[in-house]
This record gives sequence, structure tokens and C-alpha cells, in this order.
Amino acid sequence: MIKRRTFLKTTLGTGLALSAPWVARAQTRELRIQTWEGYTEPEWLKPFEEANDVVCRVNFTTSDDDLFTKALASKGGDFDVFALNTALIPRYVANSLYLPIDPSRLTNFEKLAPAFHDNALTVVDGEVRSLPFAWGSNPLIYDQDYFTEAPDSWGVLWDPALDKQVMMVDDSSSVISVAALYLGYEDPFNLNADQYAEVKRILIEQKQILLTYYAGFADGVSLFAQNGVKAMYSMGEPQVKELQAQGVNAALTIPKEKATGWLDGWMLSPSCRDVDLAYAWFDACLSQATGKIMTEKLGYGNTTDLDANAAAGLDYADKLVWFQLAPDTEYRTQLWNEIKAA
Amino acid sequence: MDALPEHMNIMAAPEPAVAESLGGQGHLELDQVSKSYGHEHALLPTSFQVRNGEFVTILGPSGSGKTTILRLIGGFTQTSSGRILVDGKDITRLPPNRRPCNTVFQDYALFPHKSAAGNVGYGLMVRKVAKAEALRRVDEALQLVGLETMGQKFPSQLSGGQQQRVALARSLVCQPRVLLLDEPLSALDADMRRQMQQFLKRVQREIQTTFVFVTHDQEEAISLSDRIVVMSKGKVEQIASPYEIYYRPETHFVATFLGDNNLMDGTVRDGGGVDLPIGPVACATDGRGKGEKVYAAIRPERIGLARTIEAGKTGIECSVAEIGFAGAMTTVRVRPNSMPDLSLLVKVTSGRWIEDLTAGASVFATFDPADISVFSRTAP
Amino acid sequence: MMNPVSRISLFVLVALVPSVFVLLPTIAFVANSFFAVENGQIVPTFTLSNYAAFLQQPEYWGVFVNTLGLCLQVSIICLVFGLPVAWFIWRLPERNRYPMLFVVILPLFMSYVVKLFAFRSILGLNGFLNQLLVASHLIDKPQMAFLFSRDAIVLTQASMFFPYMVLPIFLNLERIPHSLTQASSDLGASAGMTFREVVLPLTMPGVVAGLVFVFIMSLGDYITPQMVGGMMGHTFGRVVWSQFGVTFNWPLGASFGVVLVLVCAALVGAVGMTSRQQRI
Repeated sequence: MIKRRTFLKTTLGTGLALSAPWVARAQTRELRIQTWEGYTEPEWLKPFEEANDVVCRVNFTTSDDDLFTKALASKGGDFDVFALNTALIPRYVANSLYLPIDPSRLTNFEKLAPAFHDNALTVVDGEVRSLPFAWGSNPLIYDQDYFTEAPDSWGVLWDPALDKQVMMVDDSSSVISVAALYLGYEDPFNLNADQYAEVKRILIEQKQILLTYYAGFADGVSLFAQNGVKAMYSMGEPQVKELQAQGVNAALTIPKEKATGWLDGWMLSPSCRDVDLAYAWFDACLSQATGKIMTEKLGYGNTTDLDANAAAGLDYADKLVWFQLAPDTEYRTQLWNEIKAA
Repeated sequence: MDALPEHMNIMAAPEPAVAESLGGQGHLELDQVSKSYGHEHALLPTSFQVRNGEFVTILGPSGSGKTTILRLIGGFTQTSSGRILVDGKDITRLPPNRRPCNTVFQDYALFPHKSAAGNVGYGLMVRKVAKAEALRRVDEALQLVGLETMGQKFPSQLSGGQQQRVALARSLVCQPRVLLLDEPLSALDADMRRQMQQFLKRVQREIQTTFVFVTHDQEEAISLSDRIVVMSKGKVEQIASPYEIYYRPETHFVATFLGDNNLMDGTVRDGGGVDLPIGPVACATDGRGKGEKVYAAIRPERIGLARTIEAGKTGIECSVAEIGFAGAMTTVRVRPNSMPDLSLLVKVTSGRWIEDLTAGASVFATFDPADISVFSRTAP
Repeated sequence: MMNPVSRISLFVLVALVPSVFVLLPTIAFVANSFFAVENGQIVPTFTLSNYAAFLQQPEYWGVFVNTLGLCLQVSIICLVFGLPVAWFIWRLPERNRYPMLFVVILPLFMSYVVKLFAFRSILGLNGFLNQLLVASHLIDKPQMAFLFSRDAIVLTQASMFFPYMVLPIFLNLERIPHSLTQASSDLGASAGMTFREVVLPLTMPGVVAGLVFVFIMSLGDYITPQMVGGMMGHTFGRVVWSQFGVTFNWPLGASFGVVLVLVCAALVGAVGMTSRQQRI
């Protein structure tokens, strides 16, 4: 690389100074990144660009489905690397929209904490499909003024003593998964008919005491704050901070039945134009410095610097069940409609 | 089914019984009634009476206050002062639905969602008149206006004249003491208008109800009314029979508003008669004092033209300025030789000698001093 | 004068926008309702199974019937309050009439979501209504009962769609010549009788238009029920939304959408026929 640059410099000389911009574009390498907002913060993107003399073209994902449609249409030709919820990996695998990653080409692969290093969603049959990068959970949020100590079970959301003071989110996959966890089912994303029947039964039973199913992140916060809610299934850790900002003495906990979590990872596009550069980017993302900055700045759990996680209260990655794509989402939606119509 | 031609319906004479059940004569009195909007005077204090069964027309240009009077009587506008009495009973503060008057509106105001019979029967329905009687009276009213076969038609299916008659029947069926008609013929074409005028007059004769009719059409007022109230700028100019209004105007406005007139400045002479630009004329002065400034008016058709003057008749020597042939009548403009600045309008029956008349010809204008009406030049 | 060629090309040009942006999506939508979903992908075949699913599963048609009832309730409440309000505004002196109308339709200028949140904070446990009732000693402690119930949906929707009832009725009233009410009064009718016999029948087109507006808006509203309905917030709009937004079963959702459109079209058609018989 250096050679080529030296060559260009010496052969073209300063006489071509006027056309320098064109020259620069022609010679500089480019990395096309498709990602959620927050995963390409300047704190690690800029140093990466400088160190590798590269220009990154970042494209933000708006929804999982848009991304999938886009990837399907161009066979991943629009980007070199992309960030994806690990739950969705099977979709991309089924359509060959990924390239396996060779961990030996990465300096920082071994920096991954154990829970992420051998994750069952990312490493299948010894094939590394995704590099875990950021995570969060769906904890139980509760009001510390009401609970003297953290509730240890999702059962509080079924407690008749909390009539009209508990909330769930209006989302079939979340609600069914957490009900399955509460019932003690090992894999909440793969349920049999009996288990579904039981899930349906307890969710209908729960309607008796639920205040409402809240519609979104901010909606949950405002309802909790305005209506004296004592506990709710949370869409994510940042809800705690926002509740505290509204004067609620809120805290989160992971109940003994475990909680669901989301895990995003970096993947390699089958149409990647510069694989070397992609690996360089992966290494940059898996550095402990990057993980620390991300956790401190954005509040997401990182996958490499456990101390930073612990400092931010994110010490429960091992108590989470990472989201997976249920093989029967249509049935789940139908079940959810049945529960709500009941 | 198609309606009979309008004029045939109108000519059909009503049964005598019809007239009885629709009759209702009322005596109407306005006592110092006025209406103002802020500083705008729509009607200055006005008093007049309408006798039982009388057909009175309120005549005036737009903005003269004539419609205001009708709305005050109907109760759609509140008086600013004064009293309105019907048969001696004060109705000034009664709402429209409790007044013994009914109005025929300028736009007919027929209910579009009700049939002709439904419209006519409306007043009976709201008064809870028994069904059988109401049906009978609606039939009678429709018969009176010659629409007995059109009861089931809706207003949108009726011609303008038919709608007008439905509106009339709708008001009459309520047996008003006084019927108020607000320019009811103004939306009709000339032919229909003439037919409806005859029709209205005939209906009024039949049922003898007191009619107060508002119009801006002088001919209509003259041909229909027992008496005319001429209005201008919110005040009454004159109340009199059509003949008097026409030939004995009491104000400059009345003299000029209705048809052509010859108006001259004059001064009352000592011992009767008036000094006019054409010379002294021995006309009635109604006891006006010597030297009073007056107008003298004479209608063009009351002036005669002659080649020569008979002995004993007054004649003014004139020259013909302009000749306008208009069929039966011919209009001639003449200038007195003694006063070339003055021009007199003369309407004479077209005759053979008139055909030979040319501009500049010398003629005598003759008139009877009794045909001259004299009124004060200062506003009353 | 335009020659035929340029007139036709102008027509094509003008017609292009609505056909591209309205007609084509609608056709695509209807076509979708006959497609199937296999392995998460939409397969363009022809099947009636989506419509069958609607008819066979009570969690679809049952909710649909319930939702129709809810919409009817909202429409009737809007009418009961909207008609007198429209009438009241109409009777105001001219200089006050349009300012007052503006006040009534002012909420239309506010964002839908903002209004929803406002309603939630009014009806909520720490909300204005509870504070008012507690302060006036009508209740001892704040009640949760005002929010998250069927009544809350009805109240919220009725308030939000209220202007859509008042506007057509008012505009209809404006078209009634004053001479008609005067004639009614002149013929002996009291104000009440005039209202019943003249104003109301002549306002029917506006009333019907208002009912249709409110009904259709209520039927299509899938956010209000979720926001304020709590456990009762599961309406047909939510069911349709779940097919699009959650399951990505567009064909099934499209078939539900077609059912909605058909019901609305039938409603408008029926209304059009009755008002034509009215001769107004």
C-alpha cells in the first residue's frame, strides 16, 4: 500500500497538484458500512479512517426489514460490512447474504468476553458468522419506593396486589418470550403447542391486572410516571434513566427466570470489495477502548471491556437469553391477537 | 302530470265556500314605529292604519324602509320604538309565531323537503289542527290558487308562478288577519307577473283579507292597491289612493317617482292661484299663504295640444322640440315661446294631425288649471 | 381554443398524478390481498385463503364487529354533541359565527399524537380530571378508571373527531336560507318545531356526512385504542396493523384492509342513496 502511494507521489509529482482531489479519491480506499446509528461514533471511526487512510461511507439502517429487503435485492452489494441483530442471522444465512469470518485474521477476536466469544447464535458449527459488538436487555423495571428490595421474579407482573399497576409492551414476540421465561421454559423462542397454550393462558389471566400494553419506548416511560405504575416489562435499560429524570425512583433487575436480551454484531457482506479493510474495521470495533467508549457514551453493553460494563451496571449479560427469530412468528402474531381479543 | 297553462288555472273561479274558510280581515295600526341600527335609521317614526280588508301597498325604491316595515309587522325585526296593533291588540313584542299575520316571502321560502300540500298544511300541522280538517283546508287553499292537482309535487318540480301560489296558499290557510307580501312578484317574468297581479287582486277580493304588499314597481302598486304608502329614505312621503298619489302628489319625491311629470317652480299669488314661469294660473292652493314657494305639477297626459286655441280656454303658445311616437300615445316635447328654457312633456293620443307635426311647428299647449297640483317646495 | 390533441395530453398529464399515486397503490393493495406468504416471502398467486381466515377466525371478525360497534358509538356521541354545537354557532350573530367555528375546529391544527398524549395526561391517575375531582371532594383518591377502558377510547375519539361532525353540519346549516326558518316561525311554529320540522330535515345531508366522516376515521384509527384503551384497546385497526407491522403478513393485512374499504364504501353508498331520496 505504501509502495503504491510512494509510486504515485514520485511519478506524478507536484505538477498534478491541481487535480489532487481527483487523485486522492482514486487512490484512497473506501469502506461501505451499513449500520444502526451509534455504532460508528467518531471516537473510533475517525482513528480508523486515519490509521488506514480510508474513507468510510456510513449508511444507517432504518428497520430490520428494510435492511433485509435491500440486502436481498443487491446480494449485499451496497455495503462491505453491516451490523445486524444476531437473532436475524439465520435469515441471512438462508439467503447466502454473509461471508464467514476468519477469526485468525483478527487481533482482537480473543478479547471477546466468554459470553460472546462462543455465542451459539454467532458461532455455528465452528463457523464465525457475526462478531458480537453491542447488547442490551429487556429487564424488569420497578419502583423502589414500593419495592424495598428488587423483585426476584417476573411473577410481580402477575401479582393481583398490583392491580392496574403493572404494564407489558404491545409486542407479540416480547410478551410471549417473557411469559415463556416466567413459566420456566428453556427456549422461549421455540415453543411446542402445550407450551403455547400455557403461555396464552397466563397472558390472558394477566390482562385482569394489567394497566395497559404500552406502545413504545417513550410511551412506557410516560405511562409509568403518570399513572403510579409499580413494575413493567422494559424495552431497554435507557427507560430507567428517563424514569429517574421524571422523578420516579426507578431501578431495573434481571429476575431469576432470566430476561431476554438483544445482541448486535458485525457481519461481512458477500459482496465486500475490500476484505482486508473490513477485518481492520472489525478489529477496531473489538478493541476494548471502543467498547469502553460506547458503553460510557451510549449506555449499550459492550462485548470486550467487562469492567466498563460493570461500571455502567451492565453486569448481567450471562443472565440473558439472546433474542432469536422464532420459526413461527405468524402463529405468534395470531396468538397475540387471540390473547388481546379474549 | 303536466300543469294546465298558468293563465287557465288563474281564471278558474274559486268556490264561494273557499273564500269563507280563508277569510280574515284585520285592522292594522302602526303607531310611531321606528327602527334604527346604531345611528342608521332604517325607518323614522311612522304611523298609519290599514283598514279591514284593505289592499295597501308600500312603494319605494330599495333602501326606502319598505321591507323594514313589513319585517317589523311580521316580527322578524324588533322595533326600536312605537307600537304595532292588530285589531287593537298590541303585538309589538310578540314573536312571529304568535302574531296574527302571515308573510309571503320574496323568495317564497317554500320548504324544499315538503310537497306542495305539505307546505300548505304546515301552519295547520304546527297548530295541531285535526287531520281531517287540515286535509280539507289544504285542499281548499290549493283549489283557491288553482293547484288542486299539484299537491304531491315538490317545490323543485313546480314553476316559479306555481311556487308563488303555493306560498300564497300556505299563508292564507292560516287565516291571517293581515297578509304581508314582500315583493312576491319580483322574481317572475313580465308575463307571469301581470297574470299574478290579476290573480292576487282577485284572491284578495274573494277572501277580503287585509293585504300589505311591498313593491318597488309603481305600475304594480297603482294597479293593485286601494291605497299606497310611498316611502323614501326611511320615511313616509305620502299615503293616498293610487289616483291621488298619481295626480295629487304632495312631495317632490312622489311627483317624480311615479311616471313622467312636469314640475315647475311657483309662488302663491295673493287671493289664490300660483305664479308660474308660464304665467299666472288659477289653480287650487289649499289655503297656502301669499308668496309661499311651491312646486306645481301636471301630468303630461293632462296637457293637450292644439293648432288653434278655442275661445275661453287657456293656451300657451309653444314650439315643438321633439316628437316620440309610441303607438297609441305620442310624446311631444314643447317649449313655450315666452320661456324657451322651459320644456313641457305632453302625451297625446296619436291622431292624424299629430302625424303631420314636425319639430319647430307652432302649437298651443292647453290644460285645465284643476289638473295642476301644488305642493310646498320646502321639505315637510 | 385547444385542439383535441393538446386537450387529451393535458388530461393525461393531470390524470397521471392521481393514477400513479392513488390508483396504482390501491390496485397493488387489492392484488396483495389475494397473494400468499411462504417462508416469510410474499408469493403472487391467487388465493382466497386470506379472506377465509378473516371469516373463520373470531379473533378477526369478532374484533371487527366489536370495532364497528365502537365506531358507531363514537359517531353517535359526536352527533349528539355536534349537532347542537353546529346549530348554536349557526345562530350566532355573523361577526361571532366564524371566530366561534374557528375555535371549534382549532384542535384540527394540532398534531394527532400531541392530542392523544394530552388526553392521557388529563385522564390519567395524576391527571387533571382526577385532581379536579379530588379537589372538589367528589372522590377521595385518584381513580385509574378514567383511562384504559372502552369509555376512554370512545371519549377520546369523540373529542378528536368532533370537528369533523360540526363542520359538515354547520356548512349545511349555512346553506339553509334564513327565510325558511322565518317562514316556519311565521306559520306558527315554535323554535323547537322549526328545528324538528325544517332545520333538522334540511341538515340531514350534513349530519350523514358527519356520521360517515367520524365513523370512517374512527374505524381507521389504530393508535388511539392502543394509547388510551388499555386492555380494551384491541380494535380491528390494531389487528390490521399487527399483520403489517409485526408479522409482515401483508396479504392477510391487505385482505383486512379490503374488508374495511368495502364496509366504508357500502356505508357511503347507502348514505348517498338515502340522501338522494331526500330531494335536498
